[in-house]
Amino acid sequence: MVELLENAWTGWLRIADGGKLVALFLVALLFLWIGRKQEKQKNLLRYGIVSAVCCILPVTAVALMLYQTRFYDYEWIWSIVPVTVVTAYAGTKVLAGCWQGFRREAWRKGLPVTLGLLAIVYVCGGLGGTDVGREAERARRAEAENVLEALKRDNTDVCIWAPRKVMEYARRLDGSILLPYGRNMWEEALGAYSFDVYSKGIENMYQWMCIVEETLTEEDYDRTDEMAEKMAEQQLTTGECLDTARQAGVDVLILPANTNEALLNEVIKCTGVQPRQNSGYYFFSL
Amino acid sequence: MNFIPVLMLALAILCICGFLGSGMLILFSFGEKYAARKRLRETLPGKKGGERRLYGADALLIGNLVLIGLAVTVHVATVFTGQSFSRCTVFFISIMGAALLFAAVLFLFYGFTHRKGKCREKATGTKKVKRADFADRILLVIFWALVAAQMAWLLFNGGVYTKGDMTVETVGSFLQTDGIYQVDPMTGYAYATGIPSRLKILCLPTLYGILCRLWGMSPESVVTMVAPIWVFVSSYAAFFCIGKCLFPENRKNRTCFLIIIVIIMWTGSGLYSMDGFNLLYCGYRGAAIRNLVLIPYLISLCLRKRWLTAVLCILAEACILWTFYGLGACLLVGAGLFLAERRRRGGGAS
Repeated sequence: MVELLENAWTGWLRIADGGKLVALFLVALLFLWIGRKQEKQKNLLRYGIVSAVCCILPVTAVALMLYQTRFYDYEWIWSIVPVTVVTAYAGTKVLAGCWQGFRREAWRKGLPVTLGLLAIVYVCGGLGGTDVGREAERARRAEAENVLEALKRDNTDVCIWAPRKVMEYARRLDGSILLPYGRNMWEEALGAYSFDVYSKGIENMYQWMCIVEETLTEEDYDRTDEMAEKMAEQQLTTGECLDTARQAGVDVLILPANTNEALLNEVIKCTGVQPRQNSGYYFFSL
Repeated sequence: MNFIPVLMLALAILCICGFLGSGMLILFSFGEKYAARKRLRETLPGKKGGERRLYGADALLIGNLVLIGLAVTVHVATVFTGQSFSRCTVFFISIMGAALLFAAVLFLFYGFTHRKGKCREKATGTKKVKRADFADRILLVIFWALVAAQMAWLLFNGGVYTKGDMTVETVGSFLQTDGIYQVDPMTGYAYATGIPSRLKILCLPTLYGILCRLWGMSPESVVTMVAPIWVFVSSYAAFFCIGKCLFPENRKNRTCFLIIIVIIMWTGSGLYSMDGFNLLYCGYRGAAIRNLVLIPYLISLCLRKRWLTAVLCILAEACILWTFYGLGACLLVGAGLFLAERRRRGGGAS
């Protein structure tokens, strides 16, 4: 219960910090409340106030979070609050009043108010608050596409084990590709969509690949010690992870071209095959 | 990417929804006439001043609800009879064909029965169309320009927010295995223990999969391009309905209301879970459809006191969105507005 209350409070702070659209909505509610005697849509106003209060007060917010069964973030309980509708309704009333029913002659009062409101909405919107990362995503997607294209030239219905950025897009781009683990390994929320859980061996494979990605050789900077340290810390061995991969049905292991040389040699030694290089990656047939 | 097929498919879905919805509106009008004849109409609230009137945009929105209804019927039937996805597609085409045929028959019947009235209206010139003045036109131009800009953003510049969502993978796995929920969409291997039964009845991936199969498009194109456009248009139709309720007689206010909605969508697009974010970055998700189409439409229906039609929105949410074992946000909104109305009527009576 305490945890839920804390979630509700931090969720509200997140909403309040991220952008001020909710604040604008509260101002809109206040504006409509002041003019409630002439208000025709009292139901909407009444409902807007009650729902907003329920989402802001931690105790009622917790009740709503329990209603949506904890899975969704606090932000989603705001779905029940007509934020956009009420804000736009109040905005329309203000503008219609200032423009005197949208008459051209009323521009002296109407235009400054319109521009002012536009500026307020722009500032409150918090443009760029959430980084959707379109450019980065496009680049990662294009890279994954190249890798899969190189892979599919020789193989069909293949199970691959690759760095996260390739695994992330593999099944989105091609449903015939199989993976030992998917995005639900690193995106916890996706785990709720199935009762299945990954075995310890598969989790070790993921950890091993994370170490590979964290210790890539960049500008001739060697990270062998760092890699060995991390492997020891997590009690991982390349041989064991490759065995688990074979048991899990992995056909092709894909490693970045700038994989740590010591690690690469270890993989070559354990698999007993020379990798094929293409699109900036090594391909090992297991 | 070639955008023409994307736009064509989105347009086809909207046309089908509009046609199905129009059929439903005709059915509603018959039902209401029957109720009036039986003197039931007098007991219905909101009789005065045409408060309960349905608009053209309702056709599209009710069509969306019908489409979801048909999809969930086909989906549930396929899941629980263990049929293949190909059969599911055939079943969907059959049921959709029947629904379209039924709507066409209703259209013909309605056209036939209302021809006389229309001829009379034409002859006497009783139907007056209010002409748009300068301010009206300016507002309309601003609104359509903003909408066109958002549409262009969706088509050419938009990115999708896929965190916490696996719709594309799910649709891909349906098409690949020719079965529904046969394999884990994340890995492509068969489930060891399965998935929650509440999740099994959600029909959106099946609907998207059927569209992929019929149109020959990739799951990614349908999910991240076609569906957001469908939701985008439906969303503004729902907000239009609210505008009609809030400003029934004033077109300028209504257009201004819609312009402010579009601006709020733009500016709120950077805020996670806000309507603008849902509209411009994850329009294909069940949560986006709920927040942008179902809830606004539900509000407009509740403002018109069409409580029975509002129930359709609650049911649609249960079919497309995992509310876990809860009853969903639409129910809360509907119940809240119903109670607000009851309180008003109670207060008015006292």
